[in-house]
Amino acid sequence: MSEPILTATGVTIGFPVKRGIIFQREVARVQAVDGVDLTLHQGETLAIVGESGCGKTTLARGLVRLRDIDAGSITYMGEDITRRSGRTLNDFRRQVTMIFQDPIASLDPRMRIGQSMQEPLDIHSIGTPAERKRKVQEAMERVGLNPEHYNRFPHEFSGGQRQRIGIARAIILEPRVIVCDEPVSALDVSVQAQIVNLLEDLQRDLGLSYIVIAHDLDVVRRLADRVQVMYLGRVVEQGEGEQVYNHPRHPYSKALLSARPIADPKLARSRERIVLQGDVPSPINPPAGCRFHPRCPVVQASCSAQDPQLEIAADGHGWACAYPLAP
Amino acid sequence: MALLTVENLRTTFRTDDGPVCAVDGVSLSVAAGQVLGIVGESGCGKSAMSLSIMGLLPTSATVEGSIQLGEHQLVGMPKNELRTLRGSEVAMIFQDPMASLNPVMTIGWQLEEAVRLHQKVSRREARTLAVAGLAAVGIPSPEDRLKTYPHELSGGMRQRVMIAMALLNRPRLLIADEPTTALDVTTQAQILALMRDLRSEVDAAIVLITHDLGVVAEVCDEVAVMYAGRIVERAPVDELFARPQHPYTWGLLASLPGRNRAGERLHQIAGSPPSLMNPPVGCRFAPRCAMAMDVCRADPAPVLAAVAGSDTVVACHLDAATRAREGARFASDEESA
Ligand SMILES: Nc1ncnc2c1ncn2[C@@H]1O[C@H](COP(=O)(O)OP(=O)(O)OP(=O)(O)O)[C@@H](O)[C@H]1O
Ligand SMILES: Nc1ncnc2c1ncn2[C@@H]1O[C@H](COP(=O)(O)OP(=O)(O)OP(=O)(O)O)[C@@H](O)[C@H]1O
Ligand code: SF4
Ligand SMILES: [Mg+2]
Ligand SMILES: [Mg+2]
Repeated sequence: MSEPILTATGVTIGFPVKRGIIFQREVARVQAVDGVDLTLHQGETLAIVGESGCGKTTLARGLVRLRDIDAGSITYMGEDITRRSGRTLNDFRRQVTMIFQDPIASLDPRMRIGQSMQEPLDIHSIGTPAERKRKVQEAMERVGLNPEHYNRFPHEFSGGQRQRIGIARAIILEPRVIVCDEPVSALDVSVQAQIVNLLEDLQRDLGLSYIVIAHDLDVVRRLADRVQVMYLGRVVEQGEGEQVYNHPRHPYSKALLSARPIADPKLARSRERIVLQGDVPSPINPPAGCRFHPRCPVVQASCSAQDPQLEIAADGHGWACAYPLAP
Repeated sequence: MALLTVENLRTTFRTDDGPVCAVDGVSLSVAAGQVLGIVGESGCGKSAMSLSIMGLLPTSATVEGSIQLGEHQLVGMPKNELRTLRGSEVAMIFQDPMASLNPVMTIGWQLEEAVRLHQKVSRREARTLAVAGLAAVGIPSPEDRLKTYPHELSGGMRQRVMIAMALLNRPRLLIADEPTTALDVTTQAQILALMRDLRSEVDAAIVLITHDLGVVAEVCDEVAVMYAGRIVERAPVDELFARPQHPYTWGLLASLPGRNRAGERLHQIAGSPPSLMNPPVGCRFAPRCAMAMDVCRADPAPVLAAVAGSDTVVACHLDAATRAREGARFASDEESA
């Protein structure tokens, strides 16, 4: 396997829970991301999947250093960048960029899109104004936007076009890694296919490595070389796409895969679906023992006491479950 | 009996560059206890259609045609009467939850207000309903969450709060615009189950707008495929997947990532949707259609016509035999095998 390009070790990120109207005090902490390890290899696509609120976006923002992490470390090309600041942090941010979950909210509505896409170049003072404009127009062409639309405003574009603007913005700095948070979930299938093809083309042509966060498990299957499944801030299973999809060992992964909608009404009605019992527990006070135990269909007595750790087999397939499913 | 009957709906936006006809002669109906799915590309007029039904369009828009909801005719209904219907008899779940939640109010306050606007209940009862509503959409520790602000929730949780709000007053008609797009599959499965319950328990009619054909297959009874402001195919859900009739529907089915082999590029529908400012004459899909003939590029445009031996209607000039033969290539595997 190729060299690791981005690694995270024990990354933990929490939010304060505040109460009080005038004097806000911290009454608890939401541990949104709790000790996540991750390795992204050069030229590969790693997907992160899991229920809403399990901490995917928070982890992504931590990885690209858009927010600080409470514990753990992040290395990029073998160098620890966890505590970097100033110019060296900027260098890192040029090479590791992000496509945001909500393309509409991440564009300033009053800014012409050319300006928006150029912003990263301005921030990093790259090139002369003329060169910057040329770079933006090249990026627009690259992602299938008409460069003549440089002076238009975001509301004049469709959802798919806005997503392309977000991608153009992410590739303008010629990064090596792009973290894509739900790059296609707002798009209809035909545009989704265009963006998936575009991401694959860019990866091939520019040698990019991707971390992809997506709810659509068919898109993930298509894009990802490896998959990490998160539950309540932790990784519960990881492995190659084929391992996780065809031989899930963690009961949560299996439930997740069985819930995916199937575009075939007869099959959708006849297939066996594992319906998870109980509510998604609050990350404010996660269950003791295995965090999944209150909803686990194969729960055993010891699960409420013992917290299983992620154990990775020689073939790279790993799971955090004391009673894993048969392969 | 249909609860909602839309006939020849035409919604036009006035813009600086001229009128944009976002919905161009759409007819459909939904009965109580039924789920109608609307699918179609971004910009084809799905939201404009639902906002027309809700009476929530900006003043730059005009609506023609007929929208009959039970005993009420909604086209031309005075604004204050429409407002009373909204939130009680008709509710809508919006595409963008942030746009319809107030960022400076707690979600508890917003839910309680929504109840008190339409039901004569005390603050305490409103609060109880709000907690039950949040619990019903699977929000953990609902009591605690009442005190949170929208920005403190994940994208998916915000969407669930929106759904809870729409369901608080047990509407007869629910219009859900991409309600599960931001959700993970397990939460999505819960929300879809919630919609199925709503349909059967309170006999609500549901219009579900989505671009996810998986969601359509899971919950819809009937499906309307929209293209550039018009319905091009309408069919019972099993029919649509077993015997898709319109070339645009074929394109949508072929783009599904699950239907494409690894290593091959995903199928894309060539070209892009037409401008609604001056749409092509004849069939609006013709510029992108691999099957287009001369007749397709000229007026009059094909109109919806019944497909023999089914409850499907399709607007396409291709003859029945060609549609059956070509369509079979895009049918669900089970059928084509
Ligand atoms: N600014 C914040 N303040 C307090 N809590 C937050 C904040 N942002 C996120 N959280 C909490 O952190 C947890 C993880 O949120 P995050 O947005 O990372 O989830 P996600 O996996 O990206 O979900 P989704 O799939 O819905 O986007 C959630 O419980 C959320 O409520
Ligand atoms: N307020 C408005 N003024 C002018 N044109 C508008 C307005 N709102 C929508 N349109 C136009 O009407 C058409 C239909 O838009 P609509 O929002 O209904 O699409 P949609 O099918 O919901 O797309 P999506 O899947 O992206 O949500 C588009 O061409 C859009 O540009
Ligand atoms: S009418 Fe003609 S152009 Fe339109 S979808 Fe049918 S074959 Fe294609
Ligand atoms: Mg997120
Ligand atoms: Mg819309």
